[in-house]
Amino acid sequence: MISYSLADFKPIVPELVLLFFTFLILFVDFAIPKAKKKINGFIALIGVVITFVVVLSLYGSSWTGFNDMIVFDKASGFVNVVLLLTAFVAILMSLDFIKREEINFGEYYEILLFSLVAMQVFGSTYNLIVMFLAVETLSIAMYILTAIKRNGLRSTEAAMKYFILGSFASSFLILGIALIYGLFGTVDLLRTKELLTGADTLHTWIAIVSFVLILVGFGFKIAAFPFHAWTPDVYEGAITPISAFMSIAPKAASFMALMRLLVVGMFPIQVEWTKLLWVIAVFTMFFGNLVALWQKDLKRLLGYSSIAHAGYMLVGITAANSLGYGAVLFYLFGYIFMNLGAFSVAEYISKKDVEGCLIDDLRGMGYKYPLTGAAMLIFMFSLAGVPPTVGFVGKYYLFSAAVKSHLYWLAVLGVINSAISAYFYLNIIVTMYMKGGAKEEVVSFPSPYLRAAIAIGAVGTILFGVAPGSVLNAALSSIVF
Amino acid sequence: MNQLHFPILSFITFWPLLGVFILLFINRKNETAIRIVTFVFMLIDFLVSTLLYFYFDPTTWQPQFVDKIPWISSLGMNYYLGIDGLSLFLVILTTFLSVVGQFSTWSAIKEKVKEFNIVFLLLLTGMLGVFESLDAFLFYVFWEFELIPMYLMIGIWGGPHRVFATMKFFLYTFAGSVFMLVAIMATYFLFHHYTGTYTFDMFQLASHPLPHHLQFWLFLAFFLAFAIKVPMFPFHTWLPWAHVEAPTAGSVLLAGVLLKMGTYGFLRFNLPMFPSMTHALGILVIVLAITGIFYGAVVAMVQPDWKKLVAYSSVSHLGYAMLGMFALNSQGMEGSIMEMINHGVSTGALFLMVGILYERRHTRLFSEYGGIAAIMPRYAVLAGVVTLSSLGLPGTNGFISEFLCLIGAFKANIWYGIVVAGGAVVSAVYLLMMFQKVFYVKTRNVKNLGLKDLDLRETVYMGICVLGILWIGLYPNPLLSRMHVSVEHLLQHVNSYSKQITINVDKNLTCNKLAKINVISRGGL
Repeated sequence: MISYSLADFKPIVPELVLLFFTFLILFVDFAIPKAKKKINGFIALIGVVITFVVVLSLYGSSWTGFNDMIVFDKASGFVNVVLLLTAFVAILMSLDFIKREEINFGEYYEILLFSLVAMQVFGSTYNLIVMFLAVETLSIAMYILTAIKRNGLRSTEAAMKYFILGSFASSFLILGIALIYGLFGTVDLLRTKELLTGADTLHTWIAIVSFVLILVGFGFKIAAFPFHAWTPDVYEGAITPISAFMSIAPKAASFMALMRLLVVGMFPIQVEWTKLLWVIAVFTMFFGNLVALWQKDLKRLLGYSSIAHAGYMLVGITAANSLGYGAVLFYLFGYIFMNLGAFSVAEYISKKDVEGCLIDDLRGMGYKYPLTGAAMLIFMFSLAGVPPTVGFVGKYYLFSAAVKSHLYWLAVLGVINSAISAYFYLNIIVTMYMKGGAKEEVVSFPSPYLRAAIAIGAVGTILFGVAPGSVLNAALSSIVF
Repeated sequence: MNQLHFPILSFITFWPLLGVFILLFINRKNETAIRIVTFVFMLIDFLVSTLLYFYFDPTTWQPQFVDKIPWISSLGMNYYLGIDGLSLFLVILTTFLSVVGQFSTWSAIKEKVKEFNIVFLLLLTGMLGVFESLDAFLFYVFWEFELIPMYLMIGIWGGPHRVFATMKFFLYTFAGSVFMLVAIMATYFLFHHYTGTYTFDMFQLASHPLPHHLQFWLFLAFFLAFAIKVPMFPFHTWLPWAHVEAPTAGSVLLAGVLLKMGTYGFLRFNLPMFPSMTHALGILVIVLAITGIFYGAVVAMVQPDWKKLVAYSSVSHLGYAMLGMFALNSQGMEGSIMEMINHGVSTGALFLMVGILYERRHTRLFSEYGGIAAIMPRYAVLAGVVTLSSLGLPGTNGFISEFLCLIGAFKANIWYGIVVAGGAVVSAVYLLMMFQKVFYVKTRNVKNLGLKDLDLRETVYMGICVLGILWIGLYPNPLLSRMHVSVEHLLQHVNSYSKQITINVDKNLTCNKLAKINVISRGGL
């Protein structure tokens, strides 16, 4: 008989706090008229901030609950921080935007926070079934958010693609989990590790097969090659705040879960999975960067660029040392600022009812909006990995982890990619500053919250590029598994 | 702390950033104020940096004026600035050329003045940081950072092909640098493997060079990054584009300072950290350097564009610097450092010259000019001195450095000396041809007749350059004496590895290590 005590609830305190605000929005939404839906947004914002404070105050403690189904350790604390920061900026980006696009339904924030809770759970468990439940919850929430602009053609198309491909990926995931359960009679990764250590050849091979199947599911979430196909369409089709949110939050949770899976559960077959990840990382980086070279749409470009960045982070995992795992966490943290910043700028110049945003529209922006232009310049240099930005520091640690494990070629291929990517990032700067004025004047979307989002991005990108010490140490010390 | 009891290096590095901050609050319409504020900031920076010259202790090779604060201490990274005899004059050269360069833009830059001066100040910080960093990671940060303002400077205020030129400049340099980044990481971890300490301290890394066989790829990676920056012969193709398209001040700093980062990088990384590979691969570098000397000179001869000629002359001049350095004797190396400084002053002044005439006529083609000597006599005199210094006439700075490089080459191998002595003749040819085409032949174009001679501002900044040229040319000893101990120390260190390439290596350790690396890398693949 399974019994629970109050202590079981300790590791899910952050989730519970956020869940409270999620339901609060649900109830408040009934009471407020359509014109004042912004209140929902502020509740969501406050909820995220309070959860953030809770996570910070709990950071450092180590709890497990519900028969080890949920853990709260430093790693999940760190991922929580990443998720909540992402959500905070994404909500800032949404506050005025969804009103302009006439989609300011209460459900928007409701579902956003709900997906966030699922992501928190996703990053804080060693249990494959809990992982699957979390990944399904967050996926369904993300499908809805992609399609939130119901009458937008691109938006609906993107959601449909996302949904169908996502369902396929989930079925692979569940098949892999089923194989693990069939093999070892457990879905707990800590237990899997013990059993796999002494397993015979047949069991090991089946475990490898199940690992590959699970990797399909995870690869879809982090947009790794060859499971990346949905990314550019969805990023382009979804409304910008959601694209921005999607480019980091689900990835952060998935990377955390992937690390728990690989470093703990699949530790005995590390030699095999590093080989596979080596190949996937290289293809992901090259694919993302090479295809991005030809993009004309800013959001699509950021979509391909996010594929490439997933590749960089896979380099850190492939290195299979604690420096690499820590570097992945740090990179996710830094990626919030530069990537959300870039998406915010895309939103800043977006036009009503137009999903895409052509790079050519940025012409002359550097002079018309000097501050936004300067911020975009910082984001682009950071994404390209040029110091003194957080993008450089993050990349430095990812690749140096590879070098530490003597994966010199992987590091070299990584930096080659960095050089390739410089071309299209710089091309945006060229468009902003060095080409003549636009055919149509650049119009801006005057939202103070959006400006705040851009400012947070720019300040964070520089600040954590110059003084990465404390966050980096936190990321490195998070890896205790 | 240091001789001055004041963090002088940090001050001169970050002082321009304060200038950027102040510029942000000046109305963009008030262009004069923007120019003056920037100028004053740069002038103060230069004046403070001259203190380094006076307080420098020439009797030690140890880094001086050190500022060292833990930065990311858990990983051995420090904020570590310091200079020695190798970098002292490059720092002063940087602040000097910035003042002169900025002064020249008062009339040249008419659009986006505020942005230009902000970018210029950022560039100054980046350049200074490169020469002052003694932490390899910090060095890399500044090394890359400095690309950003230069990229913007060429791309926004450059000539008609500026976008192509600036992209080529950035991508070429960036692509080279990322290999250096991997090499820095590898050096860091391998150094830890052999000595047990994690450090980015350049002096410490150099104190225990890695075993010979591990140096090969690392040397090549650093070589690639620096050779592109110098630029050495087959990697120079970005340079004519960038120089020609950049605004005058950009060309001055590009030639005067940025190219020196490459040669300086060789002095700081390749030579001390990979000494035995320096001996093994030195011949390759020397061959490329000599090729560059001739190639640059010959190509310069046939250029119809004045600025392009000066750009190719840089390839040639930097060839001398590389040759002198890899001659691995004290004359050659001191000549090499002198060449860096002199090339900075002389070629910087050449670009200023071109800029002055370009502002008046908006063309740089030789076919448009002729007989300028009669129309602008003051300009012609100053330009004459600069040209002569560039071709190495005794009494000017160019002579000292080329002469020392030649002695070094002769001492290293008599054939190097004989071949390169011919190069000196070729450089005289193209520079004199240049001078003749612009200043002496009959005026072919009526547009040249009404040109105004130098005004006060132009006379001042050209005059200062000429004073520098003559000072170094007539009395180089204060410079040489300050670099002597550092040079001797470096040479002693490098040459101690010439004969005993493999003796120092513990054979057993090497084999085990190699086997381990193989196993792990196969596992990884």
